[in-house]
Amino acid sequence: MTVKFIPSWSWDINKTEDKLAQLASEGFLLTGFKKSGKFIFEKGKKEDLKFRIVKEKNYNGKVPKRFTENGWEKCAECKNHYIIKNPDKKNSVAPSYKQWVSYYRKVQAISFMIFCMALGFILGMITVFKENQPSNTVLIIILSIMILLILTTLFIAHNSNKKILSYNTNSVDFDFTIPKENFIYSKKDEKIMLKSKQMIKKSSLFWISAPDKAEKMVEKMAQEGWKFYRFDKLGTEFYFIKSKPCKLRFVVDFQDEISDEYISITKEMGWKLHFASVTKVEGYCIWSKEYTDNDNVPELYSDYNTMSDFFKRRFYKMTIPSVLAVIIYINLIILLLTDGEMTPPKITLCIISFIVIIEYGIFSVKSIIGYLKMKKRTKDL
Amino acid sequence: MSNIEKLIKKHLPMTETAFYILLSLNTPRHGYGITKFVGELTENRIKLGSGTVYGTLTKMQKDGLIDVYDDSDKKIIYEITDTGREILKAEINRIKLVYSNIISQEEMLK
Repeated sequence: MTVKFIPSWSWDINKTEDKLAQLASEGFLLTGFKKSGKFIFEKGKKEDLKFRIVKEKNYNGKVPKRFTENGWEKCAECKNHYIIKNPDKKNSVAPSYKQWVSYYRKVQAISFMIFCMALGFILGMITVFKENQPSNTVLIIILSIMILLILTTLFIAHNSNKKILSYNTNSVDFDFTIPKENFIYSKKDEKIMLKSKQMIKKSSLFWISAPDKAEKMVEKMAQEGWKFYRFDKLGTEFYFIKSKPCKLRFVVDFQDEISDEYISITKEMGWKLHFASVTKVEGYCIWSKEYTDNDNVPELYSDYNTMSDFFKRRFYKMTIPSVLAVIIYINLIILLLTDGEMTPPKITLCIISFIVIIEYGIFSVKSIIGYLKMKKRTKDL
Repeated sequence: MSNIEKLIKKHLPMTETAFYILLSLNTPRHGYGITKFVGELTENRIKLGSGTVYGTLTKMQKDGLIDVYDDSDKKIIYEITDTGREILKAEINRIKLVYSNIISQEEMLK
C-alpha cells in the first residue's frame, strides 16, 4: 500500500485526474481517498486508464448504471465524491463536470466578495487612523496577507474553471461580458457607421433598475427600424443599427448561477445572448429573439410558477441590496454628524455618502415600481 | 417519513410543465430535445420556454429526481433517476385517480 498526499487535488480537477492516470500507468492503482488529499494506492500491473472525479450532492454509494454499463468502475469514494476509472480511453459517456464548474464559480464569487470587503476595510483604516499605531500596522499586515491569499484562491479557481470550460465545447467565448461572436464589425467600421448615422448608441447608467422599461425601449426601436446590435462591456451603452423594421423580444433574465447549461439551453431555443454579468453567480443575462406576426411573442418562461420565480429573482437581486446600501449610508452619515467636530475628511465622506444615498435611493424606488408593474404583468398571463 | 415520501409530498401535485419534463426524461435527452418531445406529445399545446425548462431541471436535479452526464459531443444529457421514476409513478397514479373520479361524476354533470 502506498499513500500519496495531494492537498490541492480539488483546485484543478483535470490535473488530479491526469495525475491518477499517470500513476496507474506506473502501476499504482487507486483504492481509496480522503477529502483532505490522502490518496491510497496498491502496487499492481501497469494500466492505461481514464479517471473521473465526480462531485455529486445526492450520491448514495451507487455509481449510476449508465456509467457502469459504459465500462466505468468505482475505485474510491469519500462522502459526496467518488472516483471512477475506465480502461476505454475513447469512451464517450462520462459524468458531467457541471458540479465542479458550479463549485469553482462559487469559490470565485465568495473570494471576490471577501476581497472587496477586506480592501474597503484597509482603505477605511488608512483614512481614519492617520497616526500609525502599532496595533493598526499589525492589522493592516494581517489583512494584506488575507487579500493575497484570497487573490491566489481567485486566480486558481479562475484557472481551473477555464480549463473545465474549455472541455465543454458548447461554452461561450466571452470578451469580458459580451460573447465574442457579437462583434460583427470592427471598431473602425463601427466609428464610420456611427458618424454616418447607420449606427446609433444610447447610454443609461441605471437602466438595470427598471429592466422592463429598457426591454420595451429596445423592442420599440426594432419596430422603428433600429435593430439592437450590441452592448458595451459594462452594459450601459446600447448600440443599434439601421435595418428593416422587425419584431423583437428583448429580455433581462436574473439567475442564481449563469451556467453553460442555462446558456446552451436558451441558445438552442433560438435566443441570442447579448450580455452576461461579470459575476456568473447571482448575475444576469440579456437575450433577444426575433419573431413574426404569425408567432406568439416569445418568452423565456412559459408557465406561471417559473415566471413568478423570475420576477421574484429580479426583485430580490436588484431592490434589496440597494435598499440595504441606503440604510447603511444613512447610518454612516448619522454617525459622522454626531461623532465630535467635523474635520475636512469627515465632510468629504459625508458628501460622498449623500451622493450614494441619492443614487441608490432613486435606484431602489425605480426597481420597486418596476417590480410592481411586472407583478401586474404576471397576473395578466 | 422516508426520503421518497418527503419528495412525493414536496413535488405532488406536479404542474403540467414539470410532469411533462419528467416524463420526457424516461429517455435521456438534452435541453432542446425535452422541448421538442413535449411539443410533439401535446401537439404544440405546450411550448416550453428555455428558462422554464432550465429552472425545472435545476430544481429536479437538486432533489435527485434527474441526473446529468456528458455524451460523445460533450453535451449535457438529462435522465430520470430511480427516485424520479418513483415520483413520476406516484403522479401518474394521482392523475389516474382524478381521471376515474371525473368519469364517475361526469354523468351527473350532464
